[in-house]
Amino acid sequence: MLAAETTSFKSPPGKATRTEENLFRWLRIRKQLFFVSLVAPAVLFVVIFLAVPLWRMFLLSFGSADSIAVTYDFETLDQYGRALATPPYQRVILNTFWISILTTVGCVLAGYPTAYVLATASDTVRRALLAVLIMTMWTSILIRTFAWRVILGRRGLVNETLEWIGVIDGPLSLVFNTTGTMVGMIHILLPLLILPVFAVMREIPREYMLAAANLGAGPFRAWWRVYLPLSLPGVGAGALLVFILSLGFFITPAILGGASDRMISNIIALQINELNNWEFASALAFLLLIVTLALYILYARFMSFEQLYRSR
Amino acid sequence: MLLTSSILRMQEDTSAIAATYSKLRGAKVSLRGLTKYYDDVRALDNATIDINAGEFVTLLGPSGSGKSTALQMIAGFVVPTAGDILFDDVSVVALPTYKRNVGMVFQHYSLFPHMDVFGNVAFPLEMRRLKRTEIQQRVTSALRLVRLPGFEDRRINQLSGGQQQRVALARALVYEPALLLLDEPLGALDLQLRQELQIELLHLHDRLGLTVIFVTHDQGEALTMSSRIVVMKNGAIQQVGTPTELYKGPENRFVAQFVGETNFLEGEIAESVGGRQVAATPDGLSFSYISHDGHELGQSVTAVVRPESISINPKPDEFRNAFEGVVTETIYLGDIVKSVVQIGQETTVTAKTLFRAEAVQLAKGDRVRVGWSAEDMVPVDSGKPEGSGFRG
Repeated sequence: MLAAETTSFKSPPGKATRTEENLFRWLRIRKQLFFVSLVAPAVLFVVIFLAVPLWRMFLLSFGSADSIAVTYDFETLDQYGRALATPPYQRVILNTFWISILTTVGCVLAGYPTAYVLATASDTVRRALLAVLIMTMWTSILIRTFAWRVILGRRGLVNETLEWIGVIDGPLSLVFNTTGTMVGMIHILLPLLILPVFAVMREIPREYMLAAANLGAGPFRAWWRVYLPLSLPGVGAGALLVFILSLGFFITPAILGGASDRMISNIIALQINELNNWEFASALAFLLLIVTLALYILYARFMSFEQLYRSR
Repeated sequence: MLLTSSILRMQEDTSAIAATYSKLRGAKVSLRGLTKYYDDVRALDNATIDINAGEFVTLLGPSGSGKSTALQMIAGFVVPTAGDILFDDVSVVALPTYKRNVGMVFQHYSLFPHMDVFGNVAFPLEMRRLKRTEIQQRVTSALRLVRLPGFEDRRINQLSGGQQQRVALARALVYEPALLLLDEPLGALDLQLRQELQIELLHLHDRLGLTVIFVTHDQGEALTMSSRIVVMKNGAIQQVGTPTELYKGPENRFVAQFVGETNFLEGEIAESVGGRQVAATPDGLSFSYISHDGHELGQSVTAVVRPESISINPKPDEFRNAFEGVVTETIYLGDIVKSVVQIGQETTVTAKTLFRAEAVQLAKGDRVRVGWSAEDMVPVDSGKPEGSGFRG
């Protein structure tokens, strides 16, 4: 090593000798090795515990459940065909999309104004609101979901209060149906919409709204023409995130939903836990994964859109 | 060279645009006891100014002087704590920003990044629900006015700083406001571009005839551009006057110091004859100056003299104020030379002379005579009392 360094001083400037080249190559590799070693544990974990099982599941989705020894048949797509062609499963798939759309719309309607308040509030208020928001995310989803059962039940807080005020005569059915599922899902996913929208909104300079007002735009038109288009990338990102997560929701529809609110995940669980049909469950899971991946690509596009706006 | 060429170019353009761009009628703007407190912090205190129609007025002051607060209240972004704002003798304090019809160029231009140049300039016209064809026409002529014809389809992030500034100007002028507010619009540009745009702004003002209120902390810019300057400090107006009035007759120490460079001499009044007074410094020098208000003998006084009023080695008996001293420093600034001369034990003055052969020969330690006329020296107040706090 020492010899290599000595020769490097003798060589004419701008022209590397063979030993010098080797030295520099080794230095570059050493630098890369360092970074590889930093990501290696995470990569290994993902490969062993995600990629390998996924591959197994992929194979399984082509398997046949009829025989005891599993046989794979890649010529036909029996399991997929069954999922897409059988009316009850069609209904579940459509229902999954429908509930996810409703949840996303609900989150946008409730989350956008909240994000606006967060983005424009004073530092003290912002910090307090963010703390509340983050704190809800620390509480177990299971506990929060069960809490809604208590609140929305026939003798729950909402019904009792409404009856006491005299708005209703008998209890409303707010839980074990779509309403209950929606309330629970919006509640859990709301922070995931608020945070990206807030992040984008915080980047919008206050001066833009002042300029819009100065140029003759009333509050609504200033929002419609300037603030909304600039905050839209955040809404797109947040909405897609919420929608993707909604598609795979399991606990909330199981606890707060009725029989008709089953989503794909509930059927997958049913197939595995009670019917022991891993092949069909795998196919359903893969359908879900394909849709999610497609949406993720969309999400990535939205994020690059955001970059476009940033480069003012 | 650069400035002359750009002026020539503008004069060529002027006749062409004059046909399409009508002369605007400037608004008269009055501030009446305008005051703003943020909690207990005073941002602007009891400001009263009358700005005539078509005037180019600069609010000049360091950061925290209240100049921006005043501008924001005129634009309608900030609600005053007390006082009134009148446009053509009609109060506008209750009028929301979007109904004031005031043009404004922001410090960072605030062009909307999701619209192209056309979208930005057309925006105020769309807000006023003009017909599509008229919008098209007006945007075209506004862009020609700021010498950016054909830039309609450019994205904002494709423009240079100077071009963005022009688009912002076009956007502020396209709806023909009677008042234009400029919030340090040249601050982000480099010196050469800044000087070019200064002249361009003046030209636009002359031609369009609208009232302009310009905010800056740059005294050179203020002196170049304004018909009148309002010097501000800690939320209080210090002095209002034309650039010459401020330069020749600063009313207090702050104005004298902030507008141009200056020499301060302090002493006790020893003699008062006609409009002329003589005062003696603690280290035994006596200087004479012109004073119109009757200060009493024995009173202490501060008088200022500008460095360029001081001559080096004048003819004997040319000036009433004549001193001998030692050069302690000479600084060459290219076209002028600054010489610091110690004329008393505790008194030094700075003289600015044009670069000439005799000035060059001055060196540290040289003995020289300095002199200036009494007419070039004015007394100033020791300064208005400081405020309790400030906010920019």
